[in-house]
Amino acid sequence: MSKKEKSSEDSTKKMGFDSTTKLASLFGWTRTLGFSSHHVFGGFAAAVAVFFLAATFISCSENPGKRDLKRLNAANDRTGDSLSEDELIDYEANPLLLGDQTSVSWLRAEQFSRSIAASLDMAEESLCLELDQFQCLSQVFLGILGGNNPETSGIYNSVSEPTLLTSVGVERFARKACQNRVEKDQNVATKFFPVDLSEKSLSEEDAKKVVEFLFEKVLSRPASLQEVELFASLAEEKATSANGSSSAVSSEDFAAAVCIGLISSTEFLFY
Amino acid sequence: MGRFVDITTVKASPSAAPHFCVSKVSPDCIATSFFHAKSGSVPIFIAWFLSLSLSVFLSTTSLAAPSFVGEFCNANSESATCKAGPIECSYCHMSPPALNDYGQDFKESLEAQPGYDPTSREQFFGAAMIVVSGLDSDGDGFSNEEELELITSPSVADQPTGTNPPPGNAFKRSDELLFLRVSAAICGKKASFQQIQKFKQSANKASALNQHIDQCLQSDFWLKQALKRLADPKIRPLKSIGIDGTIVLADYNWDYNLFVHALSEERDARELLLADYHVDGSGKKVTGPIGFQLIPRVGQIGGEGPEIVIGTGQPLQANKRAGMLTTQWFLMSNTMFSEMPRVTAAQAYRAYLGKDISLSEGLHPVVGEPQDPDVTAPSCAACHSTLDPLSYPFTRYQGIVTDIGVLTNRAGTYDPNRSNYPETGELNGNEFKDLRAFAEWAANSEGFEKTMTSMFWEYFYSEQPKTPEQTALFEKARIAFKSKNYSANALIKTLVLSDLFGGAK
Repeated sequence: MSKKEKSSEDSTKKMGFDSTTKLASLFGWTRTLGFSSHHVFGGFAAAVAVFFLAATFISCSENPGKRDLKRLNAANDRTGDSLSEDELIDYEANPLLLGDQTSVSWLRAEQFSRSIAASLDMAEESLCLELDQFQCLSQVFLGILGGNNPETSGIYNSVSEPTLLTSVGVERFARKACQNRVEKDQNVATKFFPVDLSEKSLSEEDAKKVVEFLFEKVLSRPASLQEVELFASLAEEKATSANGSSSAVSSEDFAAAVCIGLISSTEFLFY
Repeated sequence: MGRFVDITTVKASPSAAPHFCVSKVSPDCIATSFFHAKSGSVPIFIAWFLSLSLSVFLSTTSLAAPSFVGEFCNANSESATCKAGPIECSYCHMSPPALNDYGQDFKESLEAQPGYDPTSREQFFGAAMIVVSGLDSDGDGFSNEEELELITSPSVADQPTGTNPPPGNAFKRSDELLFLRVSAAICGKKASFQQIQKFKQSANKASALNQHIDQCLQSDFWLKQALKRLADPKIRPLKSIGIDGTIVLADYNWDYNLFVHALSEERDARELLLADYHVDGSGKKVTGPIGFQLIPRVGQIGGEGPEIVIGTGQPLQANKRAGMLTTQWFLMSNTMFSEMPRVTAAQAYRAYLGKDISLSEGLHPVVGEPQDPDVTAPSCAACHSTLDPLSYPFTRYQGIVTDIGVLTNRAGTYDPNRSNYPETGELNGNEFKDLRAFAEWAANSEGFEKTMTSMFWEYFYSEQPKTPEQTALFEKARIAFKSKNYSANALIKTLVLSDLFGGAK
């Protein structure tokens, strides 16, 4: 394994991807709630987003490095894959792991919106509209995303740290932006995604292309082999509708869900 | 003038004109100010009402005794805390007269002394101090005596020495990490994959990083978003009476323009307080008065006709200007109808010298003050003996004009006959013949350096420095700011090109 791959893999571990079964079970949870077929995307996206958001905000409350490493080793002990002492040192020495930085900042409102717009190659104003008319950033979630509006709200200072509602705003914004990106791709000649999203089902190869592409666009780094495998495996999941029929996850649902997962990850939300 | 006094001995000047208790909520102050308002004078009543509203919002009844400050440091003259300068009221108070844990311990120790007599309390200070020094009022593991030497608060547990910061050599600066963090913090968006690859391939990473910071400091995000948000609590805009509002009283875009101008492109940030010019929307300097500006657009009242425009431009003559302190918006929105512009002075003190009088910060009582008989009660004078002499230099600048002048764009202009109060002011032993002199002193004070450093520190680190490493970097940035001609960019570079911002294990 190359050093780059090792580094990326470590980042993956940091984010909490120590078991593929977690994502799979989350996806299963959405099915047990009886989502109909047109809600499959919602459940799928919600599962990924919930997972990432939980990892994000829990990891900020304590030293993420130590916590995840401990959990990682506890999980790997069962399979005999614990990190060796050498690997442990390498893991902690990686200077680009968020939990090992001397200080960490929150990607606030305007930075959050601009970063998503740049990542998804979209204009900021077209990222997210609530009720098709209110700008998510300036008119709906500004305060909880860490911004402030002095002129009409008289709020001269932004909140100093994420609030209880921040995760709601982040999830909503990410979901709308990713959905809009996927929909836009259906209507423009020059496609953003490297695969045709009009396909009902997604080949494993195309799923991997989407994952690799979105990692570079959103997290600005290559995905590790483990990350690619993990995400691509989600495309194999079958969604069951209320009438009992099964269908594969569609290309656009898959692309949007991976996008939401990455945008709502610790690695994206903090710097 | 300028020494500490016991405010209970301060006498009011019999010739002082009646005025409003802007910063007090004691019943005496409120009653007096109401009855001093001219009967039937609507503007004055409105001013009284607005002032009262502000006072309720901004302050609390104060019974702080500044003489304690002197007595305390007389008894502890060799301590590091007293050598560092006068202690703040917050050393013993939450908000005067309410005592914090340390203040309560001290009071109890004082009153427990055999034969204690409050009229000669200074005689019992030494004995009480010995008792309280051995206590740990905030329970953080450091005795009150130790905290006196550490220059930390004995009533707040989260002190730097108690937090066991990681050893400084545990972290190493990473140029790559700095590149990523600078992109998000100053450019306003995360670095792209291509940008990172290019940076990784650069032969001279330090140079590439510097270039990147310079580019980010010129970015739209930094100039049109980040700096403006830092200006919000200093300008305190309100759309409904701003240039896009229904009734236009002043245009605060001039304030934002000047703020951004002074804090960008290696300019001298002291221009915030010293500029005798303004900056238009395109970034060009405009000297001389800027007259009434008509706004050619359909107004918003009932959807028809033009809005009511009372003030726009910058009508003040250049030789009376003091940067952000004399913009039409600052004077109009803070002074409003008041002859004694206490809110204006308090906001200037808070925004540019970092002292909030409503929190009992930066109190330096002046002998013979306050002159206003409405505020000589001890509960009022505790703050007014500092605030009023600080307000005098602002008294000649118009707020909202209540006569026919309202139609001639006079808000923010200078009128030597506007007030019966003296124009000469004072703060902490420094006398100022007018507002320009105050601004000159303030712009060159350590308080201004610390306020600017603190503003940017909070932007990059979210909270004020706590650990010794953070405090050292804060001081380094402050010194860099001063030594590099008060360049905000130099300050910012010192803050981010550090192990604390770009360090990793």
